[in-house]
Amino acid sequence: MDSLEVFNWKICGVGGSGLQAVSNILGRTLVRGGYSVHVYDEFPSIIKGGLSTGQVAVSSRTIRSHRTTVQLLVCLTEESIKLHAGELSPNGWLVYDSDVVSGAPMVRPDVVSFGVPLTSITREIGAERLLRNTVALGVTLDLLGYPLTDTKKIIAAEYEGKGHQLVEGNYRALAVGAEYAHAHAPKKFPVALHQLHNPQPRMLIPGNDALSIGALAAGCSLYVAYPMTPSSSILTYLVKHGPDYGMVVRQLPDEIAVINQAIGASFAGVRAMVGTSGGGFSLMVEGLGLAAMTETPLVIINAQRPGPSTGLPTWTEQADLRFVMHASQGDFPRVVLAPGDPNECFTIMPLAFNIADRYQTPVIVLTDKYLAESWFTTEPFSLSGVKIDRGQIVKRGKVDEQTGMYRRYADAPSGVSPRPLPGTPGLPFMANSDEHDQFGLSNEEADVRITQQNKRLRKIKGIAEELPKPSRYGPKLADLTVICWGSSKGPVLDALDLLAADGLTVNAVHVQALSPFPTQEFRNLVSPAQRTVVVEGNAAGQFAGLALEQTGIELADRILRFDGRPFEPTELADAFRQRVK
Amino acid sequence: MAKPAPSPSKPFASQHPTWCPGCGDFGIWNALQRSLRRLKLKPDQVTFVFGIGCSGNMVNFIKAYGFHGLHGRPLPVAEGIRLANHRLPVIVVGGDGDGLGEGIGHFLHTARSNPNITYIIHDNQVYGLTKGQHSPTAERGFISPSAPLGVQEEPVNPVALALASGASFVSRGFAGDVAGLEELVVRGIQHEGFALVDALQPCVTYNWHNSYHWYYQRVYNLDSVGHDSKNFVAAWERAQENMAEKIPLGVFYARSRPTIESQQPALARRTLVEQQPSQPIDISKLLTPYQ
Ligand SMILES: Cc1ncc(C[n+]2csc(CCOP(=O)(O)OP(=O)(O)O)c2C)c(N)n1
Ligand code: SF4
Ligand SMILES: [Mg+2]
Repeated sequence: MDSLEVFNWKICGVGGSGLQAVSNILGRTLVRGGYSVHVYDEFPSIIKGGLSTGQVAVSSRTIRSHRTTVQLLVCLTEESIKLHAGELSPNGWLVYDSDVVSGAPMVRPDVVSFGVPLTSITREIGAERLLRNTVALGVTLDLLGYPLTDTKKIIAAEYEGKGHQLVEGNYRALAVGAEYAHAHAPKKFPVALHQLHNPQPRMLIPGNDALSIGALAAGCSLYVAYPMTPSSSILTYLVKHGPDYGMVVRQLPDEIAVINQAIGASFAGVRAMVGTSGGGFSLMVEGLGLAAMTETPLVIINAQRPGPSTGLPTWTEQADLRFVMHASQGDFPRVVLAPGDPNECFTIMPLAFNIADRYQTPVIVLTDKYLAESWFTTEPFSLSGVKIDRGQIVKRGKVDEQTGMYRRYADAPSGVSPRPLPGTPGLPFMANSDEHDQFGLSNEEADVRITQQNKRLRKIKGIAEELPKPSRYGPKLADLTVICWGSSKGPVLDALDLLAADGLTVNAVHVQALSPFPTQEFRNLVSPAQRTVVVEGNAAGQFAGLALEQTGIELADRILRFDGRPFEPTELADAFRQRVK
Repeated sequence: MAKPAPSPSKPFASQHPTWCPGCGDFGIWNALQRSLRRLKLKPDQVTFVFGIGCSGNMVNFIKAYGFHGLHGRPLPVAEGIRLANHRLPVIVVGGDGDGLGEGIGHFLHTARSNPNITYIIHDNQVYGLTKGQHSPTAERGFISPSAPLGVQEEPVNPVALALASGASFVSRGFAGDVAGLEELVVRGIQHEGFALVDALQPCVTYNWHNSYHWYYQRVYNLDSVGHDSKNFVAAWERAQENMAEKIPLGVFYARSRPTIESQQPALARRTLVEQQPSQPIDISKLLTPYQ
């Protein structure tokens, strides 16, 4: 265990066999017990078959990311032992299904192997094969000396809709697993967890759900999407819960229809959002410029995965930054926000909608697979400070005598002019993708072009003032300043905690608002740094290049990762240590 | 700005159109004005969505609420408007290149989802705005600047395609028959659901083949042959008529079927835009499953 005393559990088996569900239940059990938990899944881009893993990192201290070293590895197939036993920590434990593994598994001599006939136990209680996971969970909880009560409550809540029998089956599987471990464990498991005293209520939640709940809180009332990993769970979440909150949620035939339909709805006056990943965003690019040109509010989520093209569909990367912030033809205010954790996901949504509405322009929220689909421990979201500001929507106004039309695009110092909604008595206008005059009628005269282009671009100033500033974590003065953005926040902050335990002073700057770039604030935080290193999940150092362009600060030292795997804090801590020694 | 168009016979006119003199778009524009007047609609009560093309340039000649979006994409915009405010009459005006080339996927899927909109395609067999290249409705052999040897593909048949896609109202009009077109637009607007008006439109500048004269020699009215617009099979047969010989005009097919708006639980009582909250929504119930 590292100095944060993280216990790391991992289950491996065939994809589609419920590994994600069981990791989640273990994670939530321990969050209820007062622990800080991170749940991370890896799975290939196929539905059944292939090897998947679920992992649960647990600590009584705050943790915000996964770990690669495993203390307790549960293998449901022989192959997963070969693939993952190397991840076991010294003296780690391997629990495996002795019904499917022939003979004693070949592992390092320090590893404690504990064969459990998971298949036959499951069969004996008359449960279906999927419940092997729950038996393994029972084994795990018993080894940890952890009570089954919270787990049972979570199982009941999770499966009550699917029938009493399923709940009972899971209870039994849990109990027989625990009993078996109790009677047959080769020795005492080295880690014991117990319910912490007086735990604060906390949540275990993935980024996508946090974004969805944030959008609901912000009064988003139309969500349309075309499925694409890792954004799809926003669609399934909102389809399930949105209608209870008066939302229209639909899957459409393609991403071009998606963005255009959302723009139509927003033009007609409702808060609209779309979500996709890089491939779908590529199809939305022309629509992005359309929203800007017609000054139509819109929130677009891009949950990144590695590209180019289909890339690594179920893995993570932060390589769409330069793409989304330059997407679409021409000049217009590009607003790109990249939350770093579920709490930032939740709080950024009302802000994204308010900015979209107040500045009548599209706003992009950039996440990635790691943030979108991993489960993080967080305080319950709070609505305090959340406001809905729809911006300047007018019901009355003067129309031009000659044309009878409303000056929807009248020049304004802030760049924002009041908009009537279609159907408002007496204020007709055209929203026009052609360059247009103040009524929205097509106009190619040079002075009209200059006026309208300046009007739209002037919005950037106001937007910049409202965006979250870069945050510094750790001491003001440090031997090393780590710079990161978006979802790298969790692994970086965990690495900082590991180093603090070693007495090293390393701090971090995390940037959430990437465009418009917080030039001055970034300079203020980074200029005094002794030494810097950028941590970002792409091959080109996209953020480092952006920071140079925007601030003149050269960030030559970079830790880049583009193998589809997220940064891991112990590895990062080692890399930081090398730089300050 | 061009001088205002004559009022009050054209309450929906903003500026005088800049189409080529004699362009079929004038006939469609006139038919639109007449049908809106007949339906006693006012400019602030109607929302137009325009494609990009000579046809879509109507954005500048119509006074109403309107959205002039991307080439090929007016239909999803229109559906979005209807979901936001299902009390707004929505009329879509676009070209054959827009709707049957660039945006043909939306044509098919919007016919399926059946929003209550009226879709007028200016069917001129060419890309007028980009100077006369052939469009997907051009006949095989049609010579255009981008097909000097003649078009090599079969033409898209918008009426048949709409029928095959489940459209609930399918009609064809002709810009040279303003009264007939007016009637179709009125019926299209009155129809609850996706209403296609395929408007044959002579492009006098780039399409010298499908001229007014060419059309006058071939068009006939479906009513005159006692066509039953409830009969899908009959509609399908009429849609297959060889346009080089005979061109049926009128309503091929109409039936009532639920619109996409009517199937949204959130829209059961009020429009979405009427329900826009001004205070944050209490989401605390949604948090318990994560604890
Ligand atoms: C994405 C995109 N591709 C191409 C164009 C160029 N373009 C503008 S209008 C047009 C064709 C218009 O033809 P049609 O829709 O038939 O309208 P018409 O001018 O004939 O009324 C094209 C190709 C464009 N504006 N956008
Ligand atoms: S080019 Fe053809 S379609 Fe365009 S305005 Fe002229 S005649 Fe009409
Ligand atoms: Mg055309």
